[in-house]
Amino acid sequence: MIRTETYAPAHSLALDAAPRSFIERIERTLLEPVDISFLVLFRVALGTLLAISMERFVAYGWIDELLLDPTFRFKYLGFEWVAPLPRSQMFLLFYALIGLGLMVAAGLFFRVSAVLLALGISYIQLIDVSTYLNHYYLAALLAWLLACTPANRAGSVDAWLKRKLRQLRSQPEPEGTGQVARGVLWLFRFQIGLVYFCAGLAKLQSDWLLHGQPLRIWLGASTDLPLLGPLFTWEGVPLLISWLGFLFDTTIVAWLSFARTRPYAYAVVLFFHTLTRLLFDIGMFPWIMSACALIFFPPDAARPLFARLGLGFPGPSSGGVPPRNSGRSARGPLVRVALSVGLLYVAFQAVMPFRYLAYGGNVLWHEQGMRLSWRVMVRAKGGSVSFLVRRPGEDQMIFVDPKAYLKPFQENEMSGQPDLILQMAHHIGREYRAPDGTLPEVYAQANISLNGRRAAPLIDPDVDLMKVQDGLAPASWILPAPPEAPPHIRPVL
Amino acid sequence: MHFPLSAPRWFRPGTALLVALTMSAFAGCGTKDPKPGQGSGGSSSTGGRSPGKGSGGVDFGADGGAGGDSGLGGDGQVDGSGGRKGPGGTGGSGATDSGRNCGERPVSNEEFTKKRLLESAGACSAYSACVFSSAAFELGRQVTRYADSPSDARLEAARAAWLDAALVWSETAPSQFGPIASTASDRYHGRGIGSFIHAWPALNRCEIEKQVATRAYEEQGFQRILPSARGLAALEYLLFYEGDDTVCASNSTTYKVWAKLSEEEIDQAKRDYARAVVGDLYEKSQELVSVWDKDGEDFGKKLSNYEGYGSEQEALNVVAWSLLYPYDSIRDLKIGPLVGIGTALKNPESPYAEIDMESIRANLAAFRALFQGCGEGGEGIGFDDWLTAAGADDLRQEIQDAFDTIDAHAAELPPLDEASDAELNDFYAELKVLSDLLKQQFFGSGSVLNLKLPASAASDTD
Repeated sequence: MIRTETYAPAHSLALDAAPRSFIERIERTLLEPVDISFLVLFRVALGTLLAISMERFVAYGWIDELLLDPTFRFKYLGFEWVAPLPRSQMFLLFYALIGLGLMVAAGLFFRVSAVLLALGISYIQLIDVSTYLNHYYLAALLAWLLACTPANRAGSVDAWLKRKLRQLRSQPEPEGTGQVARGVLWLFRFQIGLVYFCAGLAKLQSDWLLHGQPLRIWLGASTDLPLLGPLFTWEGVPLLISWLGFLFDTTIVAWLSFARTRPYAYAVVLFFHTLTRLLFDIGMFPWIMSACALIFFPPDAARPLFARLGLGFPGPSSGGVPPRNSGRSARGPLVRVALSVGLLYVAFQAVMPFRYLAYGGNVLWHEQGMRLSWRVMVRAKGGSVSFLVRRPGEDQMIFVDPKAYLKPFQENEMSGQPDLILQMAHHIGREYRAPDGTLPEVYAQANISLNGRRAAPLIDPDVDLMKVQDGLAPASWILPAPPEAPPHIRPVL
Repeated sequence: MHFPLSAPRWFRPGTALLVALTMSAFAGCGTKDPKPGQGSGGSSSTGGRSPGKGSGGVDFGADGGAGGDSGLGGDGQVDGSGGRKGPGGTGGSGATDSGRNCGERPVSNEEFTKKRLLESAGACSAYSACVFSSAAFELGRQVTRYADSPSDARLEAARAAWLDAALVWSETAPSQFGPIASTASDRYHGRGIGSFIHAWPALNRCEIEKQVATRAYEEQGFQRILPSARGLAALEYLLFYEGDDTVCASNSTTYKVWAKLSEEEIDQAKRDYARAVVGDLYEKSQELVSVWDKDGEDFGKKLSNYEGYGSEQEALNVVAWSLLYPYDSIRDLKIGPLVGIGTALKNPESPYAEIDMESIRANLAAFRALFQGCGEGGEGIGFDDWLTAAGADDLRQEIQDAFDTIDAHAAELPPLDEASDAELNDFYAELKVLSDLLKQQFFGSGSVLNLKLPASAASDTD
């Protein structure tokens, strides 16, 4: 059976008059109805995976370890006010988020549960920058996007309850419960496609493509893998895998977009993410991406599955009474606002990964424009950071080890991220404030290794960091990246 | 509403093994290879002493008379000054003691593989455990002789045996993986045996005095006694501290009981507790040996096959973390407080015997054994071979140079309480060079070997 993505519903969001302008044509296309099956599947998958993600925090003790135990927390610019809840409430939040994830999956009180889930996940991430992970960020974005869609319109407890209510009231089934605007589909495709594409572009640099780093280092940790492991020690294999990873990330969206290549491409997606799951500690990311990649299938591809599971719901051309927001009314002010917000979101997401271009230099070194840009698994970076404090009127420097303030995972994260080093310096400065309130000078000794290179100074050791304010401007207190190529590290059996 | 502290860990293979091992230790386990020098007075839980007043159920073959010793030789082995004679060596750091029936230090000259590195680290730890158990047996023998029939000469002999055992332990303790380690250091196979042998830095004199005064151990056995009141730390206090005062709070039960005891009764109580403690100590050392024993649990095989660790790399992570001992313990806990750096308080490892510098030298010997190899001078397979094989020979050389500088300086440093501020500051700076190197490229996100830092291994990345 050949599936198409275009529908001619009996009572579509038909716009009787021909579109008069380019914008109207775009609007018309975005509002065109498509089968809602893809959104139902996405809702079930994402809700379930997010519930599991939250459960992992509970099961692995990360609520304490990552969120509650630290006495100092790195803050996001503009979100300095975000603080962790008391311990019992934090656990309650996570249990609630597990429940909310399952409610979203089931489509139960979706409007409320989806928003609360997105809020909760965003809050958790804003507590401490050192817990930032690209896939947590992606999960939060997807949760918000999902919350903005009518994903409970079909295949949900909400829809079932509504149907029962209508039956009790002898009301007819409205039209449109099995469909959703094409713009929703495109929005999700854009978001997932952007992650892959930007992750690929991030690999378009010499360390990755010419030297096979940091994969040479990372593959060295997996030489015990059955069958594959010994292959990693073969000269050339890490570089080959680097190239394959680059080609996968940059082109997979295209392969998934064509009907003829889609099934094979998805098989490659599954292989790729299974492999990354085996090789790296990247938690739920492979699962989330494997599920998300299904968004590139035709929107009705999951319909037979739902039907087989007895969860069938009306299709887009099943007839019924036109919904309230169909027809010309769909172009009302609210829809216009929604479309505008959607386009702004797309523009923002399209620009964010490329803001690093405004800073010049090596983004993997200075990290300006690194976060929120889908530079996934492209750097092995770490080192030692210590601080020297000089109180006003004193000549002698005091050596301060950040270990006194940070948990090991925070220290590890801070070491490679200049803005976090700056935050730490400011905190230490406040700690060593003179009785009259005068702040001391604080200098950082940060020797950092990038992709196996010999450690080099990341922060200008002569700059008093108390005089530096964090911001979006290029940071002159960050020293240039070491120019030499990374070493030829070999995976060893 | 109550919430769990953390997730329940349903699968704890270590618990079952620990129970089995403890049972076997009390039943008298028969270790063969490596085996500490048990002589004819080997471990036995049926030694005729009551668990309360005897040496924890261990017969050290040291009767209350002036001689008739069995086991590791008689009085002739220890002279009046406490110096150890014969092939047992001088008792200094290094514990290169082939005379303890543990065989030669294990050295592998095969080509490097990660599996062989794990094997080598395991064999070295097994050897250290064996040597320590032998030293613990000798300590038990001397303490028992002293407790049975106190004299100045026997006290000196007991002190000499303690010094020997303590320095052997200082070379054993930094290998924080497997049974010796706490679950914080090795969450897969850690059993915390090490903390029962020497509780530092968690020392607590009052806890020891509580047992001395109340003799609670006679009724309860050692199962309910905190590590801080057991092992080498307790024995150090009992053998080396000559005062009759107590540090317990004046409103405590211990203080009140203590106040009613005469000087002689306190001395007797200390000797009785020392006898019990040394029995417990030896049993713990035997427990350690039996876990490594090839005819027993053979933990070395488990380690090299990374059983329970999930992956070879994770096993290597855990083993490698022992290389951070110069950073975590020597730099930050032993030297840092003396030079006013860091948040740790002054907490000497041996407050009464005052062998902190000798202990540091032994700690450094442990680093060399793990980084370079277990043999004399670092012969054998170590992490340095991995760096070389991986193409990071520059880093290997840098770490080696930094360590050699520390080692040479440590050999010259006077006891810590006699060292000048300048000497200690220089020593701290040298330790910082090594620890920075380890954090920059050996461990952490910048590791060329992809070795993780402790406490960062469990969470997700990117």
